[in-house]
Amino acid sequence: MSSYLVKRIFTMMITILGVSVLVFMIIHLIPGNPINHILGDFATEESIRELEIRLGLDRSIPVQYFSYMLNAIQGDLGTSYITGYTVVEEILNRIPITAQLALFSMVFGSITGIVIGVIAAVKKNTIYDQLAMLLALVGISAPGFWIALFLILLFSYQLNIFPISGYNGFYSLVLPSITLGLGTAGSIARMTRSSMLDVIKQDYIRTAKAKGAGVYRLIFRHSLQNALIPVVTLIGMQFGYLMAGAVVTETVFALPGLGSLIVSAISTRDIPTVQGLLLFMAAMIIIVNFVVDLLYTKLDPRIQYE
Amino acid sequence: MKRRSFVFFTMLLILALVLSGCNWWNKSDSNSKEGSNREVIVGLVSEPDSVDIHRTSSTGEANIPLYDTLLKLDNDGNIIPNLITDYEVVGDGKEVIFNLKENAVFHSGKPVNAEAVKLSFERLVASSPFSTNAGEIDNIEVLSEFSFKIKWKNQFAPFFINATTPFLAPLDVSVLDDKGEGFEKNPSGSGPLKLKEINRGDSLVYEPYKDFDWKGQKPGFDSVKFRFIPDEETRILEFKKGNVDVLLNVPYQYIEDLEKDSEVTIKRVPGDVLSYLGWNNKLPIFQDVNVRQAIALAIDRDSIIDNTLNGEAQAVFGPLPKAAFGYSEKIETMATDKYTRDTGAAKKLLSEAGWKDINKDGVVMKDGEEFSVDLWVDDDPANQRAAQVIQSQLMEIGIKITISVKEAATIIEQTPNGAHEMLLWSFGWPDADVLNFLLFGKDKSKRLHYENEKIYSILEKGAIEMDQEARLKLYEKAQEMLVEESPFVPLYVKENITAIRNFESFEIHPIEGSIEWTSVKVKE
Amino acid sequence: MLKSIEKNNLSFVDPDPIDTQSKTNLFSNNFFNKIKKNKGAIIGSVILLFFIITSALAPIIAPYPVNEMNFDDSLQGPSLEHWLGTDEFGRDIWTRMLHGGRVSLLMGLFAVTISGTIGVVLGVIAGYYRKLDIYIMQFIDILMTFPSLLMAIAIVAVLGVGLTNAMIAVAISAVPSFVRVVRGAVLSIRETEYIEAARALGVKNWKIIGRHILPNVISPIIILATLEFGGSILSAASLSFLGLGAQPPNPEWGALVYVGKSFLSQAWWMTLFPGLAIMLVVLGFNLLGDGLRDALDPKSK
Repeated sequence: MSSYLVKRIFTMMITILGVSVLVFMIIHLIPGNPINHILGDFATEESIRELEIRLGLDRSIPVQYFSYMLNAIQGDLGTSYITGYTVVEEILNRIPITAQLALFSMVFGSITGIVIGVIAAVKKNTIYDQLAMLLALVGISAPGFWIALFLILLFSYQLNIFPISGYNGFYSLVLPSITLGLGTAGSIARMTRSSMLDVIKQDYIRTAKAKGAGVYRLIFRHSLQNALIPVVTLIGMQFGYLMAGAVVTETVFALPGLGSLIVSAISTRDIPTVQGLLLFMAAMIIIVNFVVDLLYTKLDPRIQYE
Repeated sequence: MKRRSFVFFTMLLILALVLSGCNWWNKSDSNSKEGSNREVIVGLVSEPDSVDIHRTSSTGEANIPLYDTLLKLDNDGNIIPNLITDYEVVGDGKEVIFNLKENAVFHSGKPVNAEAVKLSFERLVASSPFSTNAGEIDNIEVLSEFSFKIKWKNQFAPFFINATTPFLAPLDVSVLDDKGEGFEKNPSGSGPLKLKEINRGDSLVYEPYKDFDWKGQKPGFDSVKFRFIPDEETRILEFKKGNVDVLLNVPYQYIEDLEKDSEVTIKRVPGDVLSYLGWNNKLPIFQDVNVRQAIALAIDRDSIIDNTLNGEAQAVFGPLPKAAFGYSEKIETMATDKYTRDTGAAKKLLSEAGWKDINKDGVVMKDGEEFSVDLWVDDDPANQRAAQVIQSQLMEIGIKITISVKEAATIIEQTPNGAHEMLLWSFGWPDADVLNFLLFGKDKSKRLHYENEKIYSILEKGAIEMDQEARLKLYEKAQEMLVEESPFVPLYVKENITAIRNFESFEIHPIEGSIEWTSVKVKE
Repeated sequence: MLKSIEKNNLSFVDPDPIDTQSKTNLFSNNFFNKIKKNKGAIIGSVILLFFIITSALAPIIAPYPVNEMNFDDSLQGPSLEHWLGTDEFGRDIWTRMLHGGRVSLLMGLFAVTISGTIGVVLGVIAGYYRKLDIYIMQFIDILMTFPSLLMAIAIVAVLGVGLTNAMIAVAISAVPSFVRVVRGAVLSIRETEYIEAARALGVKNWKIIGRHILPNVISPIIILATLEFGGSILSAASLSFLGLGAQPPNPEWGALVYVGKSFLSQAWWMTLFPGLAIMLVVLGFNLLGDGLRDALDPKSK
């Protein structure tokens, strides 16, 4: 187990390193040069040169990369040329909102998904099952941005239940979380259903049934607990999807999170911010997946890694 | 072991609730105005990239009120004293002595004196992208506590009008760290509003600055919150629902709708930003003046204004908007006569230039090439609609347009390199010198790449001519040539439209177009 | 967007996981029988056929010219003249959606073709030439860390805004899933006896790949391609919605929603119908993909 852990941590490091190279390359392929944007229309040769030196853009790409990574390891992801804020400051400012949004979406998605999945599994091959699965697939297929617009129109504007936009406590995250959690709910419902059906087929459930265990007891005490093991992994895998979904959701609901930050940073060519954010988000996703993997082995004793 | 999954899941739920616990209870609507009860909430499109006037590329309502300008424009556009009470041009016009008002104070509590203004100018010259607005300053000399002298390398006529913009407003350099940075976290200007709270990506909260000159009255509000809501639809819904008191740049399609609401007042102020259809004049396709004139003749400004801007704009035919110094009625009339829409004449000019619709597919051709160009437009929805109308109008004379939406940052960045073919863009500057420093100056034609020695030599004379009458004459001459050469098509000046609710009084400066905070009084 | 990653739940039990011969062949009667019994697949196919046919016939069946402006008719609600209403320039929404369907479907098709081709090549190489496997998969793992939409946004930032670039971005972001699936399938076949035998006989690698491996991995590719088709349309629409994809006046569905949202509370039809079309088409692909999986590959994960 411990050697497995060491090996996993090692590959995780390699992946993060690879991601950093990739991000750095992508960023330096972005056309146009930040200098033009910073100095605007009144740049002189002299001021361009001066700024290049100040920002270290006169050095070769590999040198820039190594000095960037050296700083990154020490927790310095650079400073925005434009806003004057350090990237770490910006991330810390905004991460609570994205984290809460991701968490609430996950909670909403998991509860809805598991309930629907259980219903479908218990009522297997009935009309309820089919409707539940169609619903789950609709959740996966519907464009979030489109759902969001009509949720705002209905619940915020017409019915006046939730705030329309901006961040102002829990209530302002309800609609965004529903929007973002729909896809997750769909996937979890499907996973729960099939995983439950797998478990129900197994011997010990048959035994429990033969012993005369009640239906609900059977569902909740025996089947669901085991059926949820793969669902937990899925929840971990959904994290990346939620990060991407946050970009669109935060834009529509004007939430000041990481997703809306990356959109505005791209549109103002705020290179250090885009770079730092991509790196940070990717690292988060890798770490979350790693943790979920470890949890998975803890949760399911049948799984053993060498 | 098997129970663990359940335990884990429950823990996840608890964690979720705990994490959100901190704000579970404060279901405060941004609408409810408890505490400081006279809060003004202003809804605007985008967050300024910085509140530091020496750094930002976007001045707007959310960072302008931090600053008080050196000079001011009155409601008729005349330059009047503000922080500077009077000035005296000495010698050959390269030196000017300025006297400052004696009781002005920065938000930090430090006085706005000659030394502070000097330091602010030095930072501007050293690090601002807009330093050219101050002219080429040779040196600044502090003469006494409240008087200083600026010496330029050359005479610089636009200085006085430029000093009415926030770009030249003094900021308090004493709040900077040892690297000369950190202003955005602890800004200090001498304007009517003092920054209280920064919520990055969401809002900026200001309070009225007690030591500002409130014209003998008390401020009519207790705080101002600028909320950044990028989405047009969301912004309008927030205003309709009453969560926003002041809606800037009301989307045109909603004006009629809002006018029906008796509680809402719509404020219209003629803007000073001229939208134009431009192109890269270095491209071979635009070398022929007939082609350039044909494009100008194909445009029907009224149709664009009526159908995409809800009629809320003033058509402009000459190179300068009415609000700018240098605008001439004579030029405007001349340009209107010359370029009122006439597709017949436009087609004739095109065919004289060799562009004919040979294969009858509706697109004109020359030497086997179709007249097909790419039009850049920014991501403003109204501009995108205008671009589509322009597209269909040019199609009528056989010019095929494809539209590319670019972020404003990209347009600013790439047009100086000539990466564009056509663009729908705008400029807003109170002085005709803009023709020189941005549009047609030698090596300064960033967007249009049009350099004509006859024209730019006149513009350069205009920049150093200290006599106002003579200056006007020079710009009239230059504009006359610009109308004839048609290196771009001026289109219209959009009205500045603001919707407000619940104010006893609320004024917007008719020339500068910004909110006059001294006039704002919330209805109680 | 999301792919269905659920386990199959039908109780076909395949005793030997490596026995590829017993898998349902794509062109057998068995396949069509199974598909016919799968309600989801039927519904999905009907939805898709509807959109494919109407889009293909758009120039013929569209009642109005697609880009012609008619300012007198602007922002009309659904009526007999304009079934789905008109937009801000008085253009017929139904007409624009028909034409937009061509753009959206073609974008999906190109994206899947590009990502599928790259993915299959890389996947076969990784699965067959074991020495290269670790490098390719490490690279794919790195790509996989970026959620596809985030990656597409980053790529558009590099390439610039526009329909073609959005399509390329979507295609690149879909490559990793193809590589994974194809590699997995190749791995399971590679070790079978007849491949071993062919190799022992000195049959050239490309012949083995072409004759024996590719035909056997075609099912998972088709399933994934179907699911990715819908996913790509959704990603492309999301990019257009963020203003990074199709440009005006292009009636791509995501772009129609983007334009419509400026008029949401006064002309809901401009937003509702294009969004509904996106959802239905993606749903159609997901239903069909699920059905194909049930029919072709009963024990896949």
